[in-house]
Amino acid sequence: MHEIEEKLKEIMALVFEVPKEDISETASPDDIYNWDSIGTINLITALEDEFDIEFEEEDILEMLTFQLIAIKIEEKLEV
Amino acid sequence: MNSYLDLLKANAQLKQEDQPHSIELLLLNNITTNPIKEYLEYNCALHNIKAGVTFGDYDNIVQNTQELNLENKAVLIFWELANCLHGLEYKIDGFSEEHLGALERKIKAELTITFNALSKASLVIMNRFTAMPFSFLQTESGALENLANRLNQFCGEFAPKSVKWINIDKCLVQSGIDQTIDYKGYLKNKLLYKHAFYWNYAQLIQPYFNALTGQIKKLLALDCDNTLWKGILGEDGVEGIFMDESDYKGQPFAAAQYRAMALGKRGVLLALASKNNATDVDAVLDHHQNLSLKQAALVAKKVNWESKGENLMQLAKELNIGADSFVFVDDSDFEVQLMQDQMPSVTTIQVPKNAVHYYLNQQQWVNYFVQLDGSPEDTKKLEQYKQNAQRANAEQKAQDFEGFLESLDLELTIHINDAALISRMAQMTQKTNQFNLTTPRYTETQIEQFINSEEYDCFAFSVKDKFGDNGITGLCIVNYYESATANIDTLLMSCRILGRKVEFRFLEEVFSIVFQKADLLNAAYKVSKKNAQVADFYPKVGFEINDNSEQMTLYSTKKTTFERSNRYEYITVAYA
Repeated sequence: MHEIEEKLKEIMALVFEVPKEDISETASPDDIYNWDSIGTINLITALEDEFDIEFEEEDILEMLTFQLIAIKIEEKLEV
Repeated sequence: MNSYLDLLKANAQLKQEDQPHSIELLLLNNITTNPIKEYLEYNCALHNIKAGVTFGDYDNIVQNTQELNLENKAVLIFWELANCLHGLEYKIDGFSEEHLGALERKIKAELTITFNALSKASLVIMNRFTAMPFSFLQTESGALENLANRLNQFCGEFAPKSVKWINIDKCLVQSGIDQTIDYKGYLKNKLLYKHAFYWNYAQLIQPYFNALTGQIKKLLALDCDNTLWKGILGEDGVEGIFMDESDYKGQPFAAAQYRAMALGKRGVLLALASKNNATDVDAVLDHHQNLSLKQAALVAKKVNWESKGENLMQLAKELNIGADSFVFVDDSDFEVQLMQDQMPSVTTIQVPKNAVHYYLNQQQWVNYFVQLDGSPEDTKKLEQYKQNAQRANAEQKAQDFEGFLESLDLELTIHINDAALISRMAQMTQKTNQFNLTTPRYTETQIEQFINSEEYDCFAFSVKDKFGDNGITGLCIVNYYESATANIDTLLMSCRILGRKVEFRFLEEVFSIVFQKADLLNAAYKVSKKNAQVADFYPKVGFEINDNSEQMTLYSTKKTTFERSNRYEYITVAYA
């Protein structure tokens, strides 16, 4: 899980153009300027590239915070 | 670069770096294209350009062109036909003619409004309409394809000539539908394109950004052995080299010669850079029955055993153009590496070992020489550069420099606000780097506005001497902005006419006209990477420094101190 969280932080920092340290465990669209609907689309594309997984519409609806995204990625990788 | 994520990582590093050029890009779209930002930034940074990318509102192209400030921006438009109406790609074949006609009229009306608003932009890049992602499996052309064709025809007739049209089918062909089109993304978020599309697209349009920032290549320097012909002349002899286009082995090399000649026709200077005995190469150029690229098409031959870097450096001096406008083609890894080390400003192209790949890659040569607007001056250029070489010889013979200048029979013709020269004047602002005091880049539309404005005068000149006519080679734009005050907005000259004091004679004429309308004339020298040669130009023509910073020096001169020097009477002046 730790490894996934580290990678997720790196990717969010790249996509949202903020320093990695700014992405906390509780980070959500409220804390990060570029995390809007377009930012979410870009994030999903980058995560699909990194982890070689595919998110469905209902997955994306649940991916509301850093923690929830990390859990979703872990679920996808376990299947 | 295999994915969006790879690109994000590469771009994160690159975007920290400062770049000598910058552009503002505005992207208007009716589908989601936001990932393209990173691709444009990355590609521009590779070409020394800092790109500021902003987006219009989603699916609001027409309104955005009316409301947003387009001035000095490069505008990119993604007007996706299938999304002109939700689900158009599967609905359109069932439309009645009436329904289809109404839709077509609506799109055309929107296009017309958009076109009218685009004249303020410095560059507009728009995609041709296409149905390819939605029709490539169909045997016969459907209604969407036919509509795309009709709209393209409409754009051809009614769009401003300055719009650059991109056939985005090229981006699909290069990597295939699977790698370029994201049907899932389209259904979910109207995100039609994916990684390979954006990658190909950014490459395809980059030449326009290079041209917009004045990074235009002017000369193609070609190696001979295994570049212009197959084989090594010094080892294999004349019998052992091949360039016969009726032969499989020779055809890729014959093609290289024809590609080079086609560039020459566009005004690109062609030169040889080869390690060979000059007499051997001359014999091939004069007598080989399969040779197409003749001596007369070449501006210079650097055929010797010196380093190619030294040779090109010397050639740049002889022709008075920057080595950063050179493109060098060679088959040898060693020569290409050495050029990159010795002359990093020269662009290098390595000939692939596989001749079929070589044949294929040649189609990209022309990309280095893309211009925003071609003009007839280009075709005369080779002759003028050859005359420069003749003049250099005459210079050696003449006793003293003044005497030499007098012997040239120089004639200066000045054109004031001449509408026939709009295209050439815009081109000069875009291409001139060295003798350019403030380096603004103007479009034809902007020049046209200056010409028609009371507040501006555009002075262009051409120079003729006994060796030939150099054409329109200098420009001065003066802005009258307060009572009795004028400012030199633009002052530039082509380097191929420098060294003959023409600039001094020209400015004396300009000043005498400007001082009929103004008492005070301001001017500025704005530092660019390439215009150091004119850093102290204004004091030489009677200006005094008002203010000085690292980036800019401000000058002025008064009507009361202006007097004609009569020192350049050997240059005769005429007004067109």
